Amino acid sequence: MENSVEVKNLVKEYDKFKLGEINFEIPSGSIVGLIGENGAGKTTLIKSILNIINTNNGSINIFNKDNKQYEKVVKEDIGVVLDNMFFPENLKIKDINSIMKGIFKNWNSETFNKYLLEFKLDEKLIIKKLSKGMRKKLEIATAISHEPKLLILDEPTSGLDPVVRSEVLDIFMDFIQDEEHSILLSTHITSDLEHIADKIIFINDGKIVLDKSRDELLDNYGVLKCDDTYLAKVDKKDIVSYKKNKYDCQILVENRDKMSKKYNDCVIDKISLEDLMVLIIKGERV
Amino acid sequence: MIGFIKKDLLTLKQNIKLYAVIFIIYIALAFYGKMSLMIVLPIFSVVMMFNTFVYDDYNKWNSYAATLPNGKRNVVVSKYLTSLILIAILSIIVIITSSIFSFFTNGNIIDMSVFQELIYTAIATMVVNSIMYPLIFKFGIERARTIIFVLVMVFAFIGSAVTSYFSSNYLKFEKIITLFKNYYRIIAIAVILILFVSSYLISRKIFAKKEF
Repeated sequence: MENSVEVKNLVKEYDKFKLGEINFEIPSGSIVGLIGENGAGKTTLIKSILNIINTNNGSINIFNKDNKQYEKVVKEDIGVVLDNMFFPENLKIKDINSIMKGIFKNWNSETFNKYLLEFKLDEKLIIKKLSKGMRKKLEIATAISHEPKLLILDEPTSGLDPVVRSEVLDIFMDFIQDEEHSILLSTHITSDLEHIADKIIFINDGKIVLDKSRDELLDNYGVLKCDDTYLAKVDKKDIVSYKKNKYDCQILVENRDKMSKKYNDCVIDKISLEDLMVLIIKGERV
Repeated sequence: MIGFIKKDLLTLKQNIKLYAVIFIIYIALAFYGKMSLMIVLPIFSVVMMFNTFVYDDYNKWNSYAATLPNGKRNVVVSKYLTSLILIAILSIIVIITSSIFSFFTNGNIIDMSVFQELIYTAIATMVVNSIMYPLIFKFGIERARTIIFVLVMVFAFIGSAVTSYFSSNYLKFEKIITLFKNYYRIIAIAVILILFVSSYLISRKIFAKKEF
């Protein structure tokens, strides 16, 4: 399988924060979910891929082309939704159509108007008058209407109600049906990724701590729920991390089926991405 | 690049009614001889372009634009070209309005002195823009506003000091002043072209290095 994006040895240093070294790939035809707490480096990583910040080291290839050397060509095929970055809000929705025609070679007004209709966005409205959810929908419609091959989305579903979120996720799923297409999606709504992501990249404190397929993560990891006294009985090498709560204790374990047999007097639940994140970030190590 | 210019022009279009009202007030003041209509060109073009920067800044347009094909380059090019388009449009409006004035006051439609005055005003406007834009690209609209205010004060002070020095020592500089009088049109055009292009190149360099 070809890769849409290949990031190698990427480093970006700020005074008080360092991202890297980062290595990962986005395979063509896949949705890659980027998760991590605020300030973990997700947006810095996205900005590095888009070459809107200067990196200190490493290389980023998009469609097998260097993202700096072939910036213009590469960006023709990328659709972007970034958090709180968009057109001046005194413009009308229909102005975006007119402007984008002069920016992207492949801008498709019909596609744009189709999404406006689907999202119930009146083209005569000015951006300022849109609710947060409507604005997000407009940003998505704008990102997808020049027939890009790669979508880079930073919090694309934040502010959307569950119904619209589901519609948007369906659009992403449709988009990915073309095996040349791929999506990098950073979000705090990890349940969205459980539905659509093929691969999850988990960033913590500027480093990738997990880079695995969604199925591998959700099938492999589990949460052993027990009390404090049981914690002492669990083999230390089986504990990835643990978190003591007021009434119980949660232990993150790998190889869930094997662990279920080994600790058959306890319940080992499937893990959600959210719990996995919390246990890795906040959990204690043995 | 056309898309970027359109973005600025459409941003301006949204406030067109407000600009029209202010323009009518200026016409009224000019009609009653309180001020020259020529002032419309620098004031409107500077303020209107300033407003496009404010909107861009408020909505982080530059960060979004940087993700678009040739975005970093086109953000800068489009500002300079839009400013020229705006000067051209405003010049036409001033010419038409002046011709109407002229027709009602002395029966002539074309008053050549208007063209000459307009060229000087356009050059002065381009000088202001050339100084302003690199500062805005470097510091952002908020900080640039303060810096520009200080610069205007400094330039006004230096300008008046230089003028008064030359007037009081006219004889010493007679030759230079005569030479300048003969060639001032060419000098002015050459200086503004160099200034405008240099300003654009500096802005390009500043913006290319910028992180979003």
